[in-house]
Amino acid sequence: MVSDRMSVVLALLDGDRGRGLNAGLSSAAADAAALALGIDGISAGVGTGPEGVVLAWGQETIGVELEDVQFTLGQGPGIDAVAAGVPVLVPDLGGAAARWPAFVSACGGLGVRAVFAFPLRIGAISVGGLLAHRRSPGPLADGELADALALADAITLFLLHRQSAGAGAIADDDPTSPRPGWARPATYRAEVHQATGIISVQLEVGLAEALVRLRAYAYGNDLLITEVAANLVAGRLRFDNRNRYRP
Amino acid sequence: MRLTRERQLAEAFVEAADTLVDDFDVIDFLHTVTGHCVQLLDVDAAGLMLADQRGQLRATAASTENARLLELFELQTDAGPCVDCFRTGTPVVNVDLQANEHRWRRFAEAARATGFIAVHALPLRLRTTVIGALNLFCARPGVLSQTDARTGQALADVATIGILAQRSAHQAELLSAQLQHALTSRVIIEQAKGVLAERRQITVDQAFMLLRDHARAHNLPLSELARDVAEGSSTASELLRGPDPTPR
Repeated sequence: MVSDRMSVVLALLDGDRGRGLNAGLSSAAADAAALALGIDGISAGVGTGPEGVVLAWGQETIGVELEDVQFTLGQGPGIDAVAAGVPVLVPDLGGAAARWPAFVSACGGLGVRAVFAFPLRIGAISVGGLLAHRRSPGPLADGELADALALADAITLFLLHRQSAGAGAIADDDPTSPRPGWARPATYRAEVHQATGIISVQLEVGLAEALVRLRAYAYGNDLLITEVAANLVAGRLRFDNRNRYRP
Repeated sequence: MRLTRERQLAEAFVEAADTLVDDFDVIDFLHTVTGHCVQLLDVDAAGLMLADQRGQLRATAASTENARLLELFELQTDAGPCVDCFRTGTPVVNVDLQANEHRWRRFAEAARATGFIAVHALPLRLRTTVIGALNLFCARPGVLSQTDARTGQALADVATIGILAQRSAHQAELLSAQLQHALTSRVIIEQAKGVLAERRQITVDQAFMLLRDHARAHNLPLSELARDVAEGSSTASELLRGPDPTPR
């Protein structure tokens, strides 16, 4: 159950879409997200490899520092969340010194007392991580945790779309590029994930791009993503590299 | 007969104890539990639904990985016996689909079209928290006996233990992390089914069988193999290519 406050955040996120990859990080959506989650700051980093993380959405201030600290030290909840693919919630960093000694002491210097890290991923598609922090200790409430997970889902789609646009796989101003709608959890249907796999073979692209192409096709043809996915799974539709699709 | 059943039940619990070993695979384990349900209870199909953090139920494992059966689970994301069971935390047993068509119209129609006439749902409970539901389908008339309902609940509990014991995590993040892990593993398997189906020109149902057989034959965790397939990793090339490379 996504709260009304988070629904507003997700709507604001849709407004961020027109901005290019390098349009800056701070946004109304990130400020509203921090407010809705009862935290002091939030940022999303793209990148999962040893080459580190590039901040791609959110508030720069402490977020940049936290990413830098983790990258430099090679430890921290964000790194663990991305590596394990599961949320790592640290409501009180005071109790986490044994797990990440250097990170915890660096956080002390930044005045950060609680950190909540979420992987940005859809199955085998891994984009990066979402990192929220607070200056006071305490857990996320149940509703806030659900909101944070819904936000992580939406940010994942948002960043996937931006990456594909940035790589030229889809045009950002292309009328067939996906309409915002990151808030809709339609991607959970089994056939959507199956279709993603099918498209990745048909177009010889990665799963990330395959999912973006699937969304783009559905939007461009005014169809539900689940309908398009069902057609692909049943073999009634094939994607083709030259003309993108062959109905 | 009695002895066989007890032995099977004991085996199910022993398998749950195996969840404490390192190479335990949660989806493979949940498939085994649903398989036990069909063997041990008077039911024809079984499936497990887990709630994501939005409180939405998602199909995670089924006794037969069949597209029509999976669809029956997915139809219940909004309304159906699993949703009722999940929301109330109490079993929903011996529900006649014809008599209850008004309650869950789309689900009841689809279930009957698939050949089922009765349905049960048992909660996956961790103390006061409900994390999902075990769904049982019957193609023949008859009721789930009290013994079967108890055995079914024991198997649901085994599934819960398996999900929660799968990895050592820190207390605060335990439940969300473990549920997330199970749900993500499931998504990876769907993506892998698509990749494998398209590469080998087979159905997604056949792709799952192939994945599972290959994992067993090579003693690989199912989720790990699925990830390699989904990512097109070289370790999965034999499976992706097939035994005799035939031209497409």
